[in-house]
Amino acid sequence: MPHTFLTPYSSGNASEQTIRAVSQLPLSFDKSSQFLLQFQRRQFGKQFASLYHHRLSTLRPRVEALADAKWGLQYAKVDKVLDINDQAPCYVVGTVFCDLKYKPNILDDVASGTYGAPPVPKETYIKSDDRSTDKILMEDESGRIVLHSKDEEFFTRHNIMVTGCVAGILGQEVEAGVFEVFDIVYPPLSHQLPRAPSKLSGKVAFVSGLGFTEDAAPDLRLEILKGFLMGEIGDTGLAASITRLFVAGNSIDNTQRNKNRHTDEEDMFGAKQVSNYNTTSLAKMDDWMSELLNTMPIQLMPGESDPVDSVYPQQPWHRSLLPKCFKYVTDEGNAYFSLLSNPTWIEAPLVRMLGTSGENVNDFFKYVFPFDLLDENTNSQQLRLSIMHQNLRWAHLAPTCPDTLWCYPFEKEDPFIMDELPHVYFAGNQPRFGTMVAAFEDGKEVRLISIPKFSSTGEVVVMDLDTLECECIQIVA
Amino acid sequence: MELESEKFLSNWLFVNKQSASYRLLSRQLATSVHDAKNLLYSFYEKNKASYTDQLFASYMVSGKLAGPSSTLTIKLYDDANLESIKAEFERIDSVHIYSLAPIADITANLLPDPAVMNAFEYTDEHMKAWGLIKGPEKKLNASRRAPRVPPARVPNRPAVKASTAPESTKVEKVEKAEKPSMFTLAPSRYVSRKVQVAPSPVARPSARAQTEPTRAAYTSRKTEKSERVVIADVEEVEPEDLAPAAPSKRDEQLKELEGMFNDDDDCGWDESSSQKGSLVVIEDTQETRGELVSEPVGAEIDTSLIEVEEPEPAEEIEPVEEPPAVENFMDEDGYLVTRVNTSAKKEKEPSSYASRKSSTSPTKQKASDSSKKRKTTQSSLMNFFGKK
Repeated sequence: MPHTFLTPYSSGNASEQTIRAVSQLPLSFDKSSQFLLQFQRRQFGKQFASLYHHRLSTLRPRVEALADAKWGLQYAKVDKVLDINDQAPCYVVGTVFCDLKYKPNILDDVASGTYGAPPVPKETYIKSDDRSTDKILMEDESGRIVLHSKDEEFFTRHNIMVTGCVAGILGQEVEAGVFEVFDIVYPPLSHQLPRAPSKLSGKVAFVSGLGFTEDAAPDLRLEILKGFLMGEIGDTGLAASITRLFVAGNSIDNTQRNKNRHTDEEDMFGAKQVSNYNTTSLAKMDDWMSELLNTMPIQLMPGESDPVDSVYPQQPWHRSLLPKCFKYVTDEGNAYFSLLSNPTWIEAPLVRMLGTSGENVNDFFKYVFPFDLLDENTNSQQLRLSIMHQNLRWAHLAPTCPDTLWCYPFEKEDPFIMDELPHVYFAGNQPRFGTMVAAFEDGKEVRLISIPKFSSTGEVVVMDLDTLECECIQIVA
Repeated sequence: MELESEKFLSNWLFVNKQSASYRLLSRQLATSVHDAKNLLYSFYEKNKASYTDQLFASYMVSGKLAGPSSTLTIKLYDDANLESIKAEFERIDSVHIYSLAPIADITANLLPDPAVMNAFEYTDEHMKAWGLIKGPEKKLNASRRAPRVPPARVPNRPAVKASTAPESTKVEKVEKAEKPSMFTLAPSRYVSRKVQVAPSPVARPSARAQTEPTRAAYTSRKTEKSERVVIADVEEVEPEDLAPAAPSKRDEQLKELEGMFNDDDDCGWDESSSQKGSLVVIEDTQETRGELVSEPVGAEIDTSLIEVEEPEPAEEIEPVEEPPAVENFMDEDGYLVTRVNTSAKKEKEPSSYASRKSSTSPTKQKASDSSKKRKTTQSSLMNFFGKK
């Protein structure tokens, strides 16, 4: 009988209102505006070459210092790639470039005269049985050299390399233009703020890919999630310990955007001035979020399917899009409802977090995972975590900018270069939940979290601010 | 309380044919969600025998699923499948009723209309009565003006903005007369909305009328102000905007659009640098902008006066806007370097500006004169035929 399972509830006592735990989140700190761009800086009139040049010139001295210490006594250092000779082993520092058959190539488009809409994003850039033409190269101002290793998994498992990361390589030229790699060094790890143990009992929740659609009907799982976070469903004690909700991108699902497109033959060239833009998804999101904001603070990051600029670093949501949530935006002090950039730094009490909505990790994944194995291999989650681990080693958050990830043509700056190691690094919109502690030299540790896409998994990640332990809450409807 | 809930639920489920969740019941009766769940369940227990094919319950189970998965799972079950939770769950924390629905397919129509739920106001007292978690202190930005949002054209939810339609209020009155006593707020409003959804041929005779709904609404608002219930968050139109000599709708929309883009300029990107003082300034400018919008366009402006005044500041600014010299060259590494040279170029400028001043101002004056003349003569195409 069903009623035997029903949890007995005591008669509601209005005076016993559960109080939510509080966590401070300062709006402004030293890294709060690292990825925020003033309008004057959002220009596309520059060349992208200076971005690579600046990246190499910034990271080269750091890599060289480490390479000199490691190999300097035994091997000769070569300043430029073109100076490599085949006499003896040597080491050189440069930028990695991956020449992959299925990777989109702007030069091909220019050569064939294709100027138009950007190509459809590919699932991955490699295919396991068609890698004869794939090459990994190292380049600097002088030229390029092909990197080669006898170990087939050297570049795909042990030393994941993507276009744009800066590294030092030790090896020897085995034939003209081909360099046999023995060892690799990356830029030394940046400093990490000390993290004293605190007596905080608060938690934070991460969710990504809420996926509000244009359908008028509300999504049942989102309603249940709201009920849980507001303390109506399930364990009220757990819900009350969650101090904040971080929304890591893709809150709007734009895949169905043109489904209800207004097509009227008489309305040729928009003569009737009827807009095809449907605001239902935005209105639903505004309702959902403003209702939740009554009981808890929310931090909102944009994602690739959200109505913001698509180029990295993505700038915060415009406040006009969420008119009901607007009154909760504060300018100073403790954040309540804040519109963050993507990527973003977050300073919770004694925890520095660096987070993205996952575009960079998804892009790195395409460099190392063959698409013919996408369906078979269900255990790719570990690979994603090791990619995130490797990402911190590169000391660069998005090296594939601007090759396969769009970004602004920065000149004399590269905001993605990491000069501090976070305590938590999270990436949204991943296929599954995964977490691990990445250990580095000198006892530095970083908690890696891959946040699953809510619209496909119904999962929310809850992290304890003290222990950094993560748990996953799933909603099935 | 129980009698009240039964009256409400029977009306809602069997007359309105809508699903009722614990949340709706809690908001409606201003009671805690836990009480609402109990009331919902007792109603179901009482009535499930007599309404076998009209009453279906769904349950929310939270606990840990068997097998290596997430630490906590919240899963929805319907009445028929509830027995299977014993096998699926390793640990069950709580089971409670989620909603009652008049149809069997619980996932299709489980939730009440969002517009009904949005009508309940979240004050501190209400949230305490509903038994929600009390959040931390929040500083509401009441002083900050909400962004100007143009009236949304949402084809799927036309009835939510019911407050602006004159015919809707009439229907509402009729409905109230029919069902006078029992449920004052949400049910009556809901019924009226349903009627509004059906297109009435009298009020909306043509397709064109549908595209311009607000023109009729302006007159009705003034007369029936007390009947309005604002459900959606479309910004209220201020009384000045509704003046009889108001600008045409198209102009208004254009101004609103421009206002939105101006918002874009002053959005606080650099939150650390934005100060309270600057915020106030922004508000002031927006206020004045709003006043400008409400000014009647029909009032004639002396164009010649404006054109005489304008050139002076423009000419003062002009030298500053002169683009600095730019030189491109390849550096030793083959990069294209663009260098902006701002010094050593201000030599012959004063004379050139002076000559430009003398040459441009008479022509502008002429142009303004001629345009004024043209205004008086050109009226319509028929003049062409009429005079000859």
